[in-house]
Amino acid sequence: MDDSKVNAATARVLLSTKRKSRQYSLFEIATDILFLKNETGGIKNVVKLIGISSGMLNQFLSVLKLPTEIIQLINQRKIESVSMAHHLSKFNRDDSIQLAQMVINESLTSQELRSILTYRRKFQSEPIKDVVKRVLDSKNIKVSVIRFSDSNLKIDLSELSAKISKLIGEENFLTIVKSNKNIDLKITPVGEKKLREIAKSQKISFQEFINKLLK
Amino acid sequence: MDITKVIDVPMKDIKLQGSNVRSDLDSPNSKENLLELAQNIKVNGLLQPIVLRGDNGKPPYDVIVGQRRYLAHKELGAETIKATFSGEIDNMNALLLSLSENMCRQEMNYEDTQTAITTLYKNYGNDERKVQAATGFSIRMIRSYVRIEEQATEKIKDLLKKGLSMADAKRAIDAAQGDKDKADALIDEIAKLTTYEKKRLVESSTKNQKASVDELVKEAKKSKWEETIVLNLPMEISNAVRKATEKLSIDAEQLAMDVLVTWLKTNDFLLEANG
Repeated sequence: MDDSKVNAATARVLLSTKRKSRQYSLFEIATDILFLKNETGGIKNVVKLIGISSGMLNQFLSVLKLPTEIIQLINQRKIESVSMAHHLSKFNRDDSIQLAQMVINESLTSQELRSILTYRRKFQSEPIKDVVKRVLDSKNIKVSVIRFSDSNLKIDLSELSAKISKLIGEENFLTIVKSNKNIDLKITPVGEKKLREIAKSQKISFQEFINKLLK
Repeated sequence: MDITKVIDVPMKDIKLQGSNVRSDLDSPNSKENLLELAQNIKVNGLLQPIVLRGDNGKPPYDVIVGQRRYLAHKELGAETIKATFSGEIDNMNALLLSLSENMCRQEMNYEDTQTAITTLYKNYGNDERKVQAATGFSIRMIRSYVRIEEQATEKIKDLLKKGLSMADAKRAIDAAQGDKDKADALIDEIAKLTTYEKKRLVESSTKNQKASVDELVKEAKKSKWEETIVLNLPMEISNAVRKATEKLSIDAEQLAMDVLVTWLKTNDFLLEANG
């Protein structure tokens, strides 16, 4: 066993197992872990050396099973999540390459990828895009509810709806519901984010911005 | 007896008698792996000796740990194999030794793990903590195995052996609320659902215990709205929150949660955890 190489690989892995401020790419870490596994005689010894569970080390090692196209994305630091890489490694080559692009372009989350994997195992002949759509469409819809007092509203509800739709896009406007003395504006989280950005650009608080919309 | 002493044992003195927890060695995948292992042993030799039950000099010996390595030697036509002896140990300790070794290596199939866990559970007087201490499995995992053993229908148990996930088996059992026919019907439907729909199916079954399988599936397929109420705080409150989060180095959600919990406790809407 070459101690200096083992020490260097150990140091690199220790510096890079946390996602935040990771110095090395997932591929480099996986290569180091494989080297340590071979040098120390098995994954159990790497666990002792690094202090990370064998499950997590194996997730890193799964990076080495990915197609070259995805390794390139990993080296470009476009994919940084080890659980994401681990899930991708469980798909066949074509699926994993398409999904890797979706991870980058459409911000698929690790949890979504896991759900897609479970569904894919049952429905292997469908195009992967259809599988992704089927899974994502089945998710619950996240709604941001902005509640304000009825007394603050100085314009017609339909006028307010039109104003909001114009600002955040119709696809992000869901509904306005009146109950007791409150009015609930229901929009998508993306819509909420857009409203907050507009408020910020106008250098006023979100509260002030909403109140402005009600007049 | 020195259980670390490695001895070259004649292959003809070894006879598999079921002390090893593995029973999946006939699957195509296992056979392929076995041939790979045999090739590896041929090139590198046996790196880790197998563990035989009993004492040296009293054949036939059963394999407790290393059944695949033993079969790989057979495949190679080897005359001897490197082994250590466990000495005389009872069935339960042999099972434990075999289980703990095999769990660290190639993933065991559902049936072998189920048999091992539930046998230990019964042997330890239904004490899941003792099973945990002996095997390292989480309590949650042990409960899942025991629950499935006790409540799953024959159809579900059979499907588990063929690759049905434990999570789906549990979902069908949960959603059926003790109705075995319903559990059997549900397990077929659950397979066609996405993870999100499966979760909603179990939720609906708790709310509507009399719902038919069709009704539950229909309900599960409807996406729900998950609402987050956005609080609009007056400017001075908002500034105070920002100041507090910066000073305490916590995020606003955590601060809101702390404030809520304190208020609920002070006003007797929330009991202390140990109260």
